[in-house]
Amino acid sequence: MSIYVADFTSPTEWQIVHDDSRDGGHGGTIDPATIQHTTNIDGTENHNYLIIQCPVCDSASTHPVGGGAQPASVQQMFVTHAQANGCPCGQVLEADPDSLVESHVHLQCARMDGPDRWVL
Amino acid sequence: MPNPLLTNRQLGPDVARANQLTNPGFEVWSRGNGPFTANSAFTADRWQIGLAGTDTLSISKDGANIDNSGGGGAAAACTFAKGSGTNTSLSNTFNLTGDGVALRGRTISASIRVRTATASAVSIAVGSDGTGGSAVSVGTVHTGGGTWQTLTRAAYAIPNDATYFQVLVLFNAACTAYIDNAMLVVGSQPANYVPLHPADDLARCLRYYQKIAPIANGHYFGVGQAISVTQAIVAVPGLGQQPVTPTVTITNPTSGILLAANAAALAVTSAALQTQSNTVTMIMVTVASGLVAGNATSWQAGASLPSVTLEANP
Repeated sequence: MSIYVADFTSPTEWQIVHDDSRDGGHGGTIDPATIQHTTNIDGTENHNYLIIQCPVCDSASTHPVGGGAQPASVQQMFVTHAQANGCPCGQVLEADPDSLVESHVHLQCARMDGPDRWVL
Repeated sequence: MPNPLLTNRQLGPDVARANQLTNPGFEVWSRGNGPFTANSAFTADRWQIGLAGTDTLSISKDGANIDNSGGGGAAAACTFAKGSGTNTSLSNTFNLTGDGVALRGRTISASIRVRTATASAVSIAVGSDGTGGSAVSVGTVHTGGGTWQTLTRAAYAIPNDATYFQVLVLFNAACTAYIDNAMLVVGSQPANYVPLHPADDLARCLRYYQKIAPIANGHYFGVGQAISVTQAIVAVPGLGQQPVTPTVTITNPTSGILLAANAAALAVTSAALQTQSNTVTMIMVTVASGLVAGNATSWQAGASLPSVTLEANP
């Protein structure tokens, strides 16, 4: 599949699986703060993508807000990331209610892949 | 004289009909030959492991133990150890809402070829959600004896409001089994396996998983334009349109090089997705220095062979 979050263990530690690696699959622990949005050519952050670096090998997965290879895990990652950090577009802040943040991510998902894509 | 009418229920299994499955013959293994053991892991393209309880299941590509009645060159070799689970599976799933699959409200029949020496260990099933649907609706069971048998689940009505549908191979007793040549047809009668043309077979698989990887050191990977002395935007062409926006995984990016204006090799220090369209993935590739903004450049593979994987699972 990709490099994805298998367990949102705590605010400071997530369990990662890289199940498509050349050794047949591996995983590890990362700090959620290392998960970052991609950067547009003008230097701004793009709220439609998040990058996970594999803690074991020289690979990185860039997940779209729609879910890409792993819809449930990826959509949850976007929600949890935005709840902790706000969204770089400025529409929601980390202090906003969790449900408002989730609604924002839900809307992003629908815009990218259509209204039937949301699985949370 | 009027022509006699023949309904679907009167068809024999040797009447060829359109197969709805992706990778029905287990011919395409884009992720490698295995073994694959993790829960939810894809094995052969679109065939996914579903572990129950403490059961274990190992799936590998097998080019020797194939079902010769269906042709082709590969099967799935399965080693199953029974634990506390029920209905550990190898499944092929259709998303009925986001993937454009028009199977809602239709009656379907599934079949698959299985070989195992253990009686009552392997069976076929289909399943869906929706009103009147069943998550696991079991068909026939392999009787053992080490022969290839055709397992069938006929005449399952997919509800009009179903959001997914699956063909499953179920494992419920310790065994080694070989699986090959599945069919999913519309109608109440199962059909014998008819191989897809390899071009069609591959195209179906690429809809969900594409690995863009040079096969040798020095092969071109993509072309692009430098935007500064350290960065270039490189277009890596996709291999076909996917049903939803894919996850992009870049492996071994620092193995590659960009070409400078004088064709000198500039070692890549990082690469990250910049943006995507339906057919092209734009990668921002970074080097220490040596590019000229506005110049064209190309990304070439190094010894460790970088790759870009596009995976979209609706």
